[in-house]
Amino acid sequence: MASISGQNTSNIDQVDGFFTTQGGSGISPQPVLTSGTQAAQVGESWFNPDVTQTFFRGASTTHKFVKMASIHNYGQFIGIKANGELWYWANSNIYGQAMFTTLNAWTRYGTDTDWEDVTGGQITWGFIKGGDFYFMGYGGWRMRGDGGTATESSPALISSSETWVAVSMSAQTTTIRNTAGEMFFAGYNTDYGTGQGTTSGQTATFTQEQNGLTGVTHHSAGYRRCVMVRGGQIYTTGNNIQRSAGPLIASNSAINGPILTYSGTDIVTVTCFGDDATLAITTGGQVRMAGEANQYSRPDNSTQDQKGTTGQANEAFSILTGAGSGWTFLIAGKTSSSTNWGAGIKNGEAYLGGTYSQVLQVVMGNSQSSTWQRIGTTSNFQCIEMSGGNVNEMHVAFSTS
Amino acid sequence: MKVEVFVDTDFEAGWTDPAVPNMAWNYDQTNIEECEYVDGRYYATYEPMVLTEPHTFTYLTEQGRQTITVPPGTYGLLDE
Repeated sequence: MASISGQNTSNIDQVDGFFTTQGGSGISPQPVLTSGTQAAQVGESWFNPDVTQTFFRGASTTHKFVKMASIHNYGQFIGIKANGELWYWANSNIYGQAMFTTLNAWTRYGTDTDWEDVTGGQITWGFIKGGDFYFMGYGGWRMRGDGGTATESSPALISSSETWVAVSMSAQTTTIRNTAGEMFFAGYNTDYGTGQGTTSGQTATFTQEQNGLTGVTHHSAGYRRCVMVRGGQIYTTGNNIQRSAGPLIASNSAINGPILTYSGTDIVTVTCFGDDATLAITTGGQVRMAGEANQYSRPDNSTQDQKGTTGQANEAFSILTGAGSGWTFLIAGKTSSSTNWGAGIKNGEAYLGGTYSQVLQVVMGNSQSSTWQRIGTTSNFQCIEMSGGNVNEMHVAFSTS
Repeated sequence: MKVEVFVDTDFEAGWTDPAVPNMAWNYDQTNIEECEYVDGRYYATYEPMVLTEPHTFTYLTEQGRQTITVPPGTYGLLDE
Protein backbone atom coordinates (compact mmCIF):
# COMPACT_ATOMS: atom_id res chain seq x y z
CA MET A 1 0.00 0.00 0.00
CA ALA A 2 1.35 3.41 -0.94
CA SER A 3 1.89 5.96 1.77
CA ILE A 4 2.64 9.65 2.19
CA SER A 5 4.26 11.07 5.29
CA GLY A 6 3.77 7.76 7.02
CA GLN A 7 0.04 7.65 6.33
CA ASN A 8 -1.60 5.03 4.15
CA THR A 9 -3.00 6.79 1.06
CA SER A 10 -6.44 5.53 2.02
CA ASN A 11 -6.03 7.73 5.09
CA ILE A 12 -4.70 10.74 3.21
CA ASP A 13 -6.82 13.29 5.09
CA GLN A 14 -4.54 12.77 8.08
CA VAL A 15 -1.60 14.30 6.22
CA ASP A 16 -1.20 18.05 6.53
CA GLY A 17 -2.18 19.76 3.30
CA PHE A 18 -4.31 16.91 1.94
CA PHE A 19 -8.10 17.21 2.14
CA THR A 20 -9.40 14.93 -0.60
CA THR A 21 -12.88 14.71 0.87
CA GLN A 22 -13.48 18.46 0.88
CA GLY A 23 -14.15 19.29 -2.73
CA GLY A 24 -12.29 20.47 -5.75
CA SER A 25 -10.83 23.62 -4.27
CA GLY A 26 -8.88 21.56 -1.77
CA ILE A 27 -9.99 23.48 1.31
CA SER A 28 -13.24 24.08 3.11
CA PRO A 29 -14.45 26.77 5.49
CA GLN A 30 -13.68 26.18 9.13
CA PRO A 31 -16.68 24.75 10.98
CA VAL A 32 -18.51 27.03 13.38
CA LEU A 33 -17.07 26.41 16.81
CA THR A 34 -18.58 24.02 19.30
CA SER A 35 -15.95 24.54 21.98
CA GLY A 36 -13.10 26.95 22.60
CA THR A 37 -12.66 30.26 20.81
CA GLN A 38 -13.21 31.31 17.20
CA ALA A 39 -12.67 34.67 15.49
CA ALA A 40 -14.12 35.95 12.23
CA GLN A 41 -14.21 39.11 10.16
CA VAL A 42 -16.24 40.56 7.31
CA GLY A 43 -14.97 40.40 3.76
CA GLU A 44 -16.92 42.58 1.38
CA SER A 45 -13.76 43.31 -0.53
CA TRP A 46 -13.57 39.69 -1.60
CA PHE A 47 -12.76 39.21 -5.25
CA ASN A 48 -12.44 35.45 -5.64
CA PRO A 49 -15.81 33.94 -6.67
CA ASP A 50 -14.52 30.41 -6.14
CA VAL A 51 -14.75 30.75 -2.37
CA THR A 52 -17.40 32.10 -0.06
CA GLN A 53 -17.36 34.63 2.75
CA THR A 54 -17.44 31.78 5.21
CA PHE A 55 -13.70 31.55 4.61
CA PHE A 56 -13.38 34.63 6.80
CA ARG A 57 -14.20 32.36 9.72
CA GLY A 58 -11.06 31.38 11.58
CA ALA A 59 -10.20 28.03 13.01
CA SER A 60 -11.45 27.18 16.47
CA THR A 61 -8.86 26.89 19.20
CA THR A 62 -9.06 25.17 22.56
CA HIS A 63 -8.41 28.42 24.43
CA LYS A 64 -11.34 29.71 26.48
CA PHE A 65 -11.78 33.22 27.77
CA VAL A 66 -14.03 34.85 30.33
CA LYS A 67 -13.44 38.32 28.93
CA MET A 68 -12.35 39.51 25.50
CA ALA A 69 -11.73 42.91 23.91
CA SER A 70 -10.71 44.28 20.55
CA ILE A 71 -10.17 47.67 18.92
CA HIS A 72 -12.18 49.17 16.10
CA ASN A 73 -9.59 49.50 13.41
CA TYR A 74 -7.47 46.34 13.41
CA GLY A 75 -7.78 42.59 13.65
CA GLN A 76 -6.61 42.25 17.21
CA PHE A 77 -8.18 40.48 20.19
CA ILE A 78 -7.04 40.29 23.79
CA GLY A 79 -8.57 37.74 26.14
CA ILE A 80 -8.43 36.99 29.85
CA LYS A 81 -8.71 33.39 30.98
CA ALA A 82 -10.46 32.26 34.16
CA ASN A 83 -7.06 31.85 35.81
CA GLY A 84 -6.11 35.49 35.19
CA GLU A 85 -3.76 34.89 32.27
CA LEU A 86 -3.67 37.42 29.41
CA TRP A 87 -3.65 36.17 25.80
CA TYR A 88 -3.82 37.87 22.42
CA TRP A 89 -4.48 37.15 18.77
CA ALA A 90 -3.45 39.75 16.21
CA ASN A 91 -3.00 39.87 12.46
CA SER A 92 -1.22 43.22 12.78
CA ASN A 93 0.96 44.58 15.55
CA ILE A 94 0.07 48.24 15.06
CA TYR A 95 -0.47 50.09 18.36
CA GLY A 96 0.90 47.07 20.19
CA GLN A 97 4.29 46.31 18.66
CA ALA A 98 5.91 45.29 21.94
CA MET A 99 2.99 43.11 22.96
CA PHE A 100 1.91 41.50 19.70
CA THR A 101 5.22 39.84 18.95
CA THR A 102 3.59 36.76 17.47
CA LEU A 103 0.97 37.16 14.78
CA ASN A 104 -2.01 35.00 13.76
CA ALA A 105 -1.93 32.67 16.76
CA TRP A 106 -3.33 32.95 20.27
CA THR A 107 -0.28 33.76 22.36
CA ARG A 108 0.12 34.34 26.07
CA TYR A 109 1.42 37.73 27.17
CA GLY A 110 3.87 37.54 30.04
CA THR A 111 3.51 35.26 33.04
CA ASP A 112 1.23 37.24 35.36
CA THR A 113 -2.05 35.74 36.52
CA ASP A 114 -3.77 38.78 37.97
CA TRP A 115 -5.31 40.31 34.84
CA GLU A 116 -8.86 41.30 35.70
CA ASP A 117 -10.34 43.39 32.89
CA VAL A 118 -9.59 44.52 29.34
CA THR A 119 -11.28 46.98 26.99
CA GLY A 120 -10.63 48.35 23.53
CA GLY A 121 -11.38 51.71 21.97
CA GLN A 122 -10.70 52.80 18.42
CA ILE A 123 -6.90 52.53 18.62
CA THR A 124 -6.48 52.29 22.39
CA TRP A 125 -6.50 49.52 24.99
CA GLY A 126 -7.16 49.56 28.71
CA PHE A 127 -6.37 46.86 31.28
CA ILE A 128 -6.85 46.24 34.97
CA LYS A 129 -4.23 44.05 36.56
CA GLY A 130 -4.01 43.55 40.30
CA GLY A 131 -6.26 46.57 40.81
CA ASP A 132 -4.03 48.88 38.77
CA PHE A 133 -4.84 50.50 35.42
CA TYR A 134 -2.64 49.92 32.38
CA PHE A 135 -2.88 51.62 28.99
CA MET A 136 -1.71 50.66 25.50
CA GLY A 137 -2.13 52.34 22.12
CA TYR A 138 -2.50 55.88 20.86
CA GLY A 139 -2.07 58.46 23.60
CA GLY A 140 -2.93 61.64 21.74
CA TRP A 141 -6.57 61.69 22.78
CA ARG A 142 -5.74 61.98 26.50
CA MET A 143 -7.35 58.61 27.20
CA ARG A 144 -4.30 57.45 29.19
CA GLY A 145 -5.64 59.26 32.23
CA ASP A 146 -2.28 60.51 33.51
CA GLY A 147 -2.13 63.74 31.53
CA GLY A 148 0.37 62.34 29.04
CA THR A 149 0.01 61.87 25.31
CA ALA A 150 2.61 59.17 24.67
CA THR A 151 1.64 56.16 22.62
CA GLU A 152 2.38 52.83 24.35
CA SER A 153 3.25 49.64 22.46
CA SER A 154 2.68 47.35 25.45
CA PRO A 155 0.55 47.66 28.59
CA ALA A 156 1.99 50.58 30.60
CA LEU A 157 1.15 51.18 34.26
CA ILE A 158 -0.83 54.41 34.54
CA SER A 159 -2.74 54.45 37.81
CA SER A 160 -2.27 52.56 41.05
CA SER A 161 -3.58 55.14 43.52
CA GLU A 162 -7.05 53.53 43.51
CA THR A 163 -8.09 49.89 43.43
CA TRP A 164 -9.76 49.60 40.05
CA VAL A 165 -12.27 46.90 39.18
CA ALA A 166 -13.61 47.70 35.69
CA VAL A 167 -12.69 49.81 32.68
CA SER A 168 -14.64 50.58 29.51
CA MET A 169 -13.43 52.61 26.55
CA SER A 170 -15.37 54.27 23.77
CA ALA A 171 -13.64 55.71 20.74
CA GLN A 172 -12.34 58.73 22.66
CA THR A 173 -13.05 58.23 26.36
CA THR A 174 -11.79 55.98 29.13
CA THR A 175 -14.27 55.27 31.93
CA ILE A 176 -13.01 53.45 35.02
CA ARG A 177 -14.56 52.30 38.28
CA ASN A 178 -13.00 51.60 41.67
CA THR A 179 -13.98 49.21 44.47
CA ALA A 180 -16.24 51.84 46.03
CA GLY A 181 -18.17 52.11 42.80
CA GLU A 182 -16.86 55.59 42.08
CA MET A 183 -16.43 56.63 38.44
CA PHE A 184 -13.45 58.42 36.93
CA PHE A 185 -13.07 59.60 33.34
CA ALA A 186 -10.45 60.65 30.80
CA GLY A 187 -10.67 61.75 27.18
CA TYR A 188 -12.89 64.06 25.17
CA ASN A 189 -15.56 66.01 27.08
CA THR A 190 -17.81 66.24 24.01
CA ASP A 191 -21.55 66.13 24.86
CA TYR A 192 -20.69 65.93 28.61
CA GLY A 193 -19.54 62.38 27.92
CA THR A 194 -16.99 62.47 30.75
CA GLY A 195 -19.36 63.78 33.39
CA GLN A 196 -17.30 66.89 34.16
CA GLY A 197 -19.97 69.51 33.56
CA THR A 198 -18.27 70.77 30.42
CA THR A 199 -18.18 69.93 26.72
CA SER A 200 -14.90 71.79 26.25
CA GLY A 201 -11.55 70.11 25.68
CA GLN A 202 -10.44 66.84 27.21
CA THR A 203 -10.13 65.44 30.70
CA ALA A 204 -6.40 64.77 30.75
CA THR A 205 -6.00 63.08 34.13
CA PHE A 206 -8.55 60.70 35.59
CA THR A 207 -11.19 62.92 37.18
CA GLN A 208 -14.19 61.80 39.18
CA GLU A 209 -17.53 62.63 37.59
CA GLN A 210 -19.05 65.79 38.97
CA ASN A 211 -21.79 64.23 41.10
CA GLY A 212 -19.57 61.87 43.10
CA LEU A 213 -21.66 58.73 42.73
CA THR A 214 -20.75 55.73 44.84
CA GLY A 215 -21.97 52.17 44.58
CA VAL A 216 -21.90 51.88 40.79
CA THR A 217 -21.86 48.16 40.01
CA HIS A 218 -21.59 48.16 36.21
CA HIS A 219 -20.90 50.71 33.50
CA SER A 220 -20.47 50.98 29.75
CA ALA A 221 -18.82 53.67 27.68
CA GLY A 222 -20.58 54.53 24.44
CA TYR A 223 -20.41 57.14 21.75
CA ARG A 224 -19.86 60.38 23.71
CA ARG A 225 -21.64 58.95 26.73
CA CYS A 226 -21.40 56.64 29.69
CA VAL A 227 -24.18 54.57 31.22
CA MET A 228 -23.88 53.37 34.81
CA VAL A 229 -25.85 50.92 36.98
CA ARG A 230 -26.35 51.84 40.63
CA GLY A 231 -28.86 50.11 42.87
CA GLY A 232 -30.35 48.48 39.79
CA GLN A 233 -31.08 51.93 38.38
CA ILE A 234 -29.45 53.63 35.42
CA TYR A 235 -27.47 56.85 35.52
CA THR A 236 -26.34 58.53 32.32
CA THR A 237 -24.06 61.31 31.21
CA GLY A 238 -23.52 62.50 27.65
CA ASN A 239 -25.11 62.00 24.27
CA ASN A 240 -28.86 61.39 24.20
CA ILE A 241 -29.64 62.20 20.59
CA GLN A 242 -31.86 59.12 20.22
CA ARG A 243 -33.26 59.34 23.76
CA SER A 244 -31.41 56.23 24.77
CA ALA A 245 -30.91 57.43 28.36
CA GLY A 246 -34.26 56.38 29.71
CA PRO A 247 -37.83 57.40 30.53
CA LEU A 248 -36.92 60.11 33.03
CA ILE A 249 -35.45 62.35 30.34
CA ALA A 250 -37.83 63.97 27.87
CA SER A 251 -35.26 65.92 25.85
CA ASN A 252 -32.77 64.57 23.35
CA SER A 253 -30.16 67.13 24.38
CA ALA A 254 -26.84 65.93 25.74
CA ILE A 255 -27.13 65.15 29.45
CA ASN A 256 -24.95 67.15 31.84
CA GLY A 257 -24.71 64.21 34.24
CA PRO A 258 -24.42 61.65 35.46
CA ILE A 259 -28.03 61.74 36.58
CA LEU A 260 -30.74 59.17 37.18
CA THR A 261 -32.40 58.31 33.88
CA TYR A 262 -34.18 55.02 34.73
CA SER A 263 -35.57 54.47 38.21
CA GLY A 264 -36.43 50.79 38.08
CA THR A 265 -34.26 48.70 40.33
CA ASP A 266 -33.82 45.55 38.25
CA ILE A 267 -30.84 46.33 36.03
CA VAL A 268 -27.68 44.24 36.27
CA THR A 269 -25.64 45.23 33.20
CA VAL A 270 -25.87 47.80 30.41
CA THR A 271 -24.30 48.29 27.01
CA CYS A 272 -24.42 51.14 24.50
CA PHE A 273 -25.69 50.32 21.03
CA GLY A 274 -23.72 53.21 19.59
CA ASP A 275 -25.61 56.47 19.89
CA ASP A 276 -28.86 54.75 18.91
CA ALA A 277 -29.91 52.73 21.90
CA THR A 278 -29.07 51.32 25.31
CA LEU A 279 -29.57 47.65 26.11
CA ALA A 280 -29.80 46.33 29.65
CA ILE A 281 -30.08 42.89 31.23
CA THR A 282 -32.44 42.60 34.20
CA THR A 283 -32.18 40.49 37.31
CA GLY A 284 -34.63 38.12 35.63
CA GLY A 285 -32.44 37.72 32.58
CA GLN A 286 -34.70 39.80 30.34
CA VAL A 287 -33.66 42.67 28.08
CA ARG A 288 -34.72 46.30 28.47
CA MET A 289 -34.07 48.74 25.65
CA ALA A 290 -34.22 52.51 25.24
CA GLY A 291 -33.80 54.52 22.05
CA GLU A 292 -33.86 54.03 18.30
CA ALA A 293 -34.58 50.64 16.74
CA ASN A 294 -34.13 51.13 13.01
CA GLN A 295 -30.62 49.65 13.10
CA TYR A 296 -31.96 46.54 14.78
CA SER A 297 -30.82 47.33 18.26
CA ARG A 298 -33.62 45.13 19.63
CA PRO A 299 -32.80 41.43 20.12
CA ASP A 300 -36.50 40.67 19.59
CA ASN A 301 -36.06 42.05 16.04
CA SER A 302 -38.85 44.61 16.36
CA THR A 303 -38.13 47.99 14.77
CA GLN A 304 -40.34 49.88 17.24
CA ASP A 305 -38.48 52.72 18.96
CA GLN A 306 -38.66 53.06 22.73
CA LYS A 307 -38.04 56.75 23.34
CA GLY A 308 -41.00 57.65 25.53
CA THR A 309 -41.14 58.95 29.05
CA THR A 310 -42.70 57.13 32.00
CA GLY A 311 -46.22 55.94 31.23
CA GLN A 312 -46.09 56.47 27.49
CA ALA A 313 -46.81 53.51 25.21
CA ASN A 314 -43.26 53.60 23.87
CA GLU A 315 -41.68 54.06 27.30
CA ALA A 316 -37.93 53.79 27.20
CA PHE A 317 -36.45 50.72 28.89
CA SER A 318 -39.65 48.70 28.58
CA ILE A 319 -38.88 44.98 28.67
CA LEU A 320 -38.54 43.30 25.29
CA THR A 321 -40.77 40.36 26.08
CA GLY A 322 -40.25 38.89 22.63
CA ALA A 323 -36.54 38.53 23.32
CA GLY A 324 -37.26 35.99 26.04
CA SER A 325 -35.18 35.46 29.15
CA GLY A 326 -31.93 33.79 30.04
CA TRP A 327 -29.72 36.64 28.80
CA THR A 328 -26.37 36.69 30.55
CA PHE A 329 -24.25 38.79 28.21
CA LEU A 330 -24.81 41.74 25.86
CA ILE A 331 -22.34 43.92 24.07
CA ALA A 332 -22.94 46.56 21.42
CA GLY A 333 -21.14 49.41 19.79
CA LYS A 334 -20.69 51.88 17.03
CA THR A 335 -18.23 51.75 14.20
CA SER A 336 -16.25 54.72 13.00
CA SER A 337 -18.75 54.84 10.13
CA SER A 338 -21.69 55.63 12.40
CA THR A 339 -23.37 52.28 12.09
CA ASN A 340 -24.11 50.06 15.01
CA TRP A 341 -24.00 46.41 15.99
CA GLY A 342 -24.75 44.11 18.89
CA ALA A 343 -24.16 40.61 20.21
CA GLY A 344 -25.38 38.60 23.13
CA ILE A 345 -25.72 35.27 24.89
CA LYS A 346 -29.07 33.84 25.94
CA ASN A 347 -29.22 30.51 27.74
CA GLY A 348 -25.73 29.85 26.44
CA GLU A 349 -26.71 30.53 22.82
CA ALA A 350 -24.80 33.23 20.92
CA TYR A 351 -26.60 35.86 18.85
CA LEU A 352 -25.47 38.66 16.53
CA GLY A 353 -27.63 41.59 15.43
CA GLY A 354 -27.64 45.16 14.19
CA THR A 355 -26.87 46.82 10.89
CA TYR A 356 -23.17 46.14 10.77
CA SER A 357 -23.50 42.52 11.80
CA GLN A 358 -25.20 41.61 8.53
CA VAL A 359 -22.12 40.44 6.65
CA LEU A 360 -20.69 38.82 9.75
CA GLN A 361 -23.88 36.78 9.82
CA VAL A 362 -22.90 35.36 6.43
CA VAL A 363 -19.37 34.71 7.60
CA MET A 364 -20.80 32.74 10.52
CA GLY A 365 -23.07 30.69 8.29
CA ASN A 366 -26.35 32.63 8.49
CA SER A 367 -28.32 34.62 5.92
CA GLN A 368 -27.31 38.23 5.32
CA SER A 369 -29.56 40.28 7.55
CA SER A 370 -29.46 42.95 10.21
CA THR A 371 -31.79 40.94 12.40
CA TRP A 372 -30.52 39.09 15.45
CA GLN A 373 -29.70 35.52 14.53
CA ARG A 374 -28.31 32.61 16.48
CA ILE A 375 -24.73 31.60 15.78
CA GLY A 376 -23.98 27.92 15.47
CA THR A 377 -25.71 25.26 17.50
CA THR A 378 -23.73 25.29 20.72
CA SER A 379 -25.37 26.34 23.99
CA ASN A 380 -22.29 26.89 26.10
CA PHE A 381 -21.06 30.30 24.98
CA GLN A 382 -19.48 32.41 27.68
CA CYS A 383 -18.41 35.69 26.06
CA ILE A 384 -18.32 37.47 22.72
CA GLU A 385 -16.25 40.38 21.50
CA MET A 386 -17.14 42.45 18.46
CA SER A 387 -15.84 45.68 17.02
CA GLY A 388 -15.07 47.41 13.77
CA GLY A 389 -13.94 50.53 12.02
CA ASN A 390 -16.07 50.25 8.91
CA VAL A 391 -17.96 47.64 6.95
CA ASN A 392 -14.74 45.99 5.81
CA GLU A 393 -13.22 45.85 9.25
CA MET A 394 -15.90 44.28 11.42
CA HIS A 395 -14.56 41.44 13.49
CA VAL A 396 -15.99 39.16 16.13
CA ALA A 397 -14.77 36.41 18.45
CA PHE A 398 -16.76 33.85 20.39
CA SER A 399 -15.64 31.83 23.39
CA THR A 400 -17.35 28.95 25.14
CA SER A 401 -17.28 27.85 28.76
CA MET B 1 -12.72 80.60 19.32
CA LYS B 2 -11.00 81.05 15.99
CA VAL B 3 -7.24 81.35 15.71
CA GLU B 4 -4.70 81.43 12.93
CA VAL B 5 -2.66 78.28 12.39
CA PHE B 6 0.26 77.50 10.14
CA VAL B 7 1.50 74.66 8.00
CA ASP B 8 3.88 73.61 10.78
CA THR B 9 1.25 73.73 13.53
CA ASP B 10 1.19 70.52 15.57
CA PHE B 11 -2.47 69.62 15.78
CA GLU B 12 -1.85 66.68 18.11
CA ALA B 13 0.08 68.54 20.79
CA GLY B 14 -2.77 70.39 22.45
CA TRP B 15 -2.30 72.75 25.37
CA THR B 16 -3.15 73.07 29.05
CA ASP B 17 -4.19 75.76 31.49
CA PRO B 18 -2.44 75.83 34.89
CA ALA B 19 -5.69 76.89 36.56
CA VAL B 20 -7.31 73.57 35.56
CA PRO B 21 -4.44 71.06 35.57
CA ASN B 22 -6.67 68.04 34.93
CA MET B 23 -7.88 69.37 31.58
CA ALA B 24 -6.36 69.86 28.12
CA TRP B 25 -7.47 71.35 24.84
CA ASN B 26 -6.98 70.73 21.15
CA TYR B 27 -8.13 72.36 17.97
CA ASP B 28 -11.41 71.09 16.57
CA GLN B 29 -9.51 70.30 13.37
CA THR B 30 -6.95 67.51 13.16
CA ASN B 31 -4.84 68.91 10.31
CA ILE B 32 -4.33 72.04 8.23
CA GLU B 33 -6.52 70.77 5.40
CA GLU B 34 -9.56 70.84 7.68
CA CYS B 35 -9.01 74.49 8.56
CA GLU B 36 -10.73 77.49 7.06
CA TYR B 37 -8.57 79.19 4.42
CA VAL B 38 -9.09 82.91 3.92
CA ASP B 39 -6.83 85.30 2.04
CA GLY B 40 -3.83 83.04 2.26
CA ARG B 41 -4.23 82.28 5.96
CA TYR B 42 -5.51 79.19 7.76
CA TYR B 43 -7.85 79.37 10.76
CA ALA B 44 -8.67 76.67 13.29
CA THR B 45 -11.31 76.68 16.00
CA TYR B 46 -11.53 75.40 19.58
CA GLU B 47 -13.90 75.60 22.52
CA PRO B 48 -12.55 77.02 25.78
CA MET B 49 -14.19 76.05 29.06
CA VAL B 50 -16.55 78.69 30.41
CA LEU B 51 -17.55 78.39 34.06
CA THR B 52 -20.38 80.61 35.25
CA GLU B 53 -20.11 79.36 38.81
CA PRO B 54 -17.38 77.68 40.85
CA HIS B 55 -16.73 74.08 39.83
CA THR B 56 -15.00 71.42 41.88
CA PHE B 57 -12.86 68.74 40.26
CA THR B 58 -11.45 65.68 42.01
CA TYR B 59 -8.64 64.21 39.95
CA LEU B 60 -5.83 61.75 40.43
CA THR B 61 -2.15 62.48 40.74
CA GLU B 62 0.73 60.17 41.57
CA GLN B 63 0.22 61.17 45.19
CA GLY B 64 -3.50 60.38 45.18
CA ARG B 65 -6.66 62.44 44.93
CA GLN B 66 -6.45 66.17 44.45
CA THR B 67 -9.54 68.38 44.77
CA ILE B 68 -9.66 71.90 43.38
CA THR B 69 -12.42 74.45 43.09
CA VAL B 70 -12.10 76.59 40.00
CA PRO B 71 -13.74 80.03 40.13
CA PRO B 72 -16.00 81.36 37.35
CA GLY B 73 -14.10 82.33 34.25
CA THR B 74 -12.93 81.17 30.84
CA TYR B 75 -10.22 78.51 30.77
CA GLY B 76 -8.15 76.84 28.09
CA LEU B 77 -7.61 80.02 26.15
CA LEU B 78 -4.74 79.79 23.74
CA ASP B 79 -2.12 82.52 23.92
CA GLU B 80 -2.06 84.47 20.69
